[in-house]
Amino acid sequence: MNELALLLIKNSLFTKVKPRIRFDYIIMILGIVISVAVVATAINLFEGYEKTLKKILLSSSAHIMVYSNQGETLSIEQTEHAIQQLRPFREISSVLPSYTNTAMLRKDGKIRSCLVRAYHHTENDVWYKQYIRQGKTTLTNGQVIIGDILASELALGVSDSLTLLYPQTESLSPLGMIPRQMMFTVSGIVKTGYYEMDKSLILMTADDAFSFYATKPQYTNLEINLHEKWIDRSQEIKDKLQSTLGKDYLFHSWIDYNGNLFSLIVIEKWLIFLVFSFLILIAAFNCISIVSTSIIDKKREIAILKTVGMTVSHIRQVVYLRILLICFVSILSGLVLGSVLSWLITQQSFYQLKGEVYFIDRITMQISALNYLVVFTSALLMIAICIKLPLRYIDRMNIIDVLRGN
Amino acid sequence: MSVLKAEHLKKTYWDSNLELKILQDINLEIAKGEFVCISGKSGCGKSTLLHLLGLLDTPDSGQIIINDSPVTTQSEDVHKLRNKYIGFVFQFHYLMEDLSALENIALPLMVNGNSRQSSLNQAMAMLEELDMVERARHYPHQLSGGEQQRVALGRALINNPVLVLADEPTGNLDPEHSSEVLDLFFKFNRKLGCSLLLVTHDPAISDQAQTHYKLENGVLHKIK
Repeated sequence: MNELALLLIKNSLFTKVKPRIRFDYIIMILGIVISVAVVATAINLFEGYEKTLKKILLSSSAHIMVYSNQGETLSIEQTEHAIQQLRPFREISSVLPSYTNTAMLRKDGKIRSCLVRAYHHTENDVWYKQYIRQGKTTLTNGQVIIGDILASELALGVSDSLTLLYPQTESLSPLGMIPRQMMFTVSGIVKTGYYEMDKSLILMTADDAFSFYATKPQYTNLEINLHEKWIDRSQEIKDKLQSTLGKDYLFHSWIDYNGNLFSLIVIEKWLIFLVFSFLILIAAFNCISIVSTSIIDKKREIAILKTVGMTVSHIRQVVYLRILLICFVSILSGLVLGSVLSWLITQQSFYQLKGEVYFIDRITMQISALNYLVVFTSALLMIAICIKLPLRYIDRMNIIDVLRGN
Repeated sequence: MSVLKAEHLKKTYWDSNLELKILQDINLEIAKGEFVCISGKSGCGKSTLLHLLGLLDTPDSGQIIINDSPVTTQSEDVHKLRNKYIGFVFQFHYLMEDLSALENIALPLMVNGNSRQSSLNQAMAMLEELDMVERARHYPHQLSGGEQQRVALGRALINNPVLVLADEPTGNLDPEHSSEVLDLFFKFNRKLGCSLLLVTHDPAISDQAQTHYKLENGVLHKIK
């Protein structure tokens, strides 16, 4: 762009001639600002939802699970060997051996099936501590922490006792199969937000689990948590760990379990973007009429520029860049407005999500540079094309009529 | 030596299937520094002839030669020819509303690729010649009709063109401003040595021209 084009654009944008900005320009600018703001807001809120969901999902389950590839459980030797091998990896924040099994819970004649998860009682870095709603956050032998839906269904509170049952085929008597049973005291109530988990989870110490299931010390899996910046690269790290520990172990990352859900959310986000982009397209269509009227409006100036020797392509460039610059600033303003709108929506108190229903109890937002780049680029592209279309009129303009004053 | 030569120019317009032969066989030669005047009735084709000579419009037939080279509006470098060799002044000032008087005068220089600063410096020198330095930063709507036309003249002359084409430049001015603007035309014609082709109805102006043509029925008749 040469100095003359810059001068013409600058002077027409900051013109001293009144009215400084035409009404149809205001409508065009508003159209772009509002449509871009709506798209940016929708994307920000959806991104916020995705991030929050991921955060909650990953804070209540391991990022990578390790199982034995030889049997149902990992022996103490296998577990110690694996922990030893995994320790040097800087991506890993913790490795937690756990024992998982099923059992029946009985309380005052009511029976429920439940999922028992056991951890060594000395472990501090366990996921459930942040979800304890009542009682103690640590596990002690003879005590259990239970899911809050399970607790409310069986009217269990902290310090209440319950009985766990586990059928064993080797305990047959003339009267039939006698299940193993053991009494525990409720030391805490946990609420993860997952219905299935809160309805069936029982946490206990590994020692109690080995005793209750009458098994030698062993673990069903290792729960590996990664440092935050590596979480999205779980799949890659999983492969690295798998190659280090070999085929005796089986690795699954959170992406293996929940990848489809997040892929679906990402697809939904871009579908929303696509649908809402039509708003920008409509605003961009408005630019066609603005450029057309602007050419008619400025035909005298265009005639003068042709008379003093300016080429048609340079005149087109000036008209194009002048309107594109206005649209560029409008798009940026739309993104800023979108950010403010998203923030206001997260701050408002008119509509709140029901945490117990939606699992997320408040609307969150997340501004992503990549999302904004996509919105900005697509909006600019649509508008740039729409501005370019009517510029052909400049080529066909008959300046003789203009100079005659017709 | 001629700066512009027109040979057998013809131009016809069609109005609702009616053929209007505006220019029938125009032959004209303008020497360097010559002051030529064309007069004629309204609608006789004076402005059309000026537009053809200024390479703004295309003749149906005939040839225009500038500095011994035939040129047409279809030439790739027609915009350069207009910028370098020809200056235009119209009845209505036709200044760029968003540009100051100084910037309006500098416009042809900047179109030619000169830097902004050097163009503005030259434009300021031109404003001094026009005795309008104090109006340099004023916009066209802040200038009187006479001042606007003086700026338009400055813009036409800033590139030192070989030929200035003026289409009734005083037609829209009162006698006082009209006389001021004409004096400037004559001054620059003498000082810069550029040729001047002026279309006018005013006999007082045509009397001062070195050559005077009358356009009648599409043909130029030499009066003087």
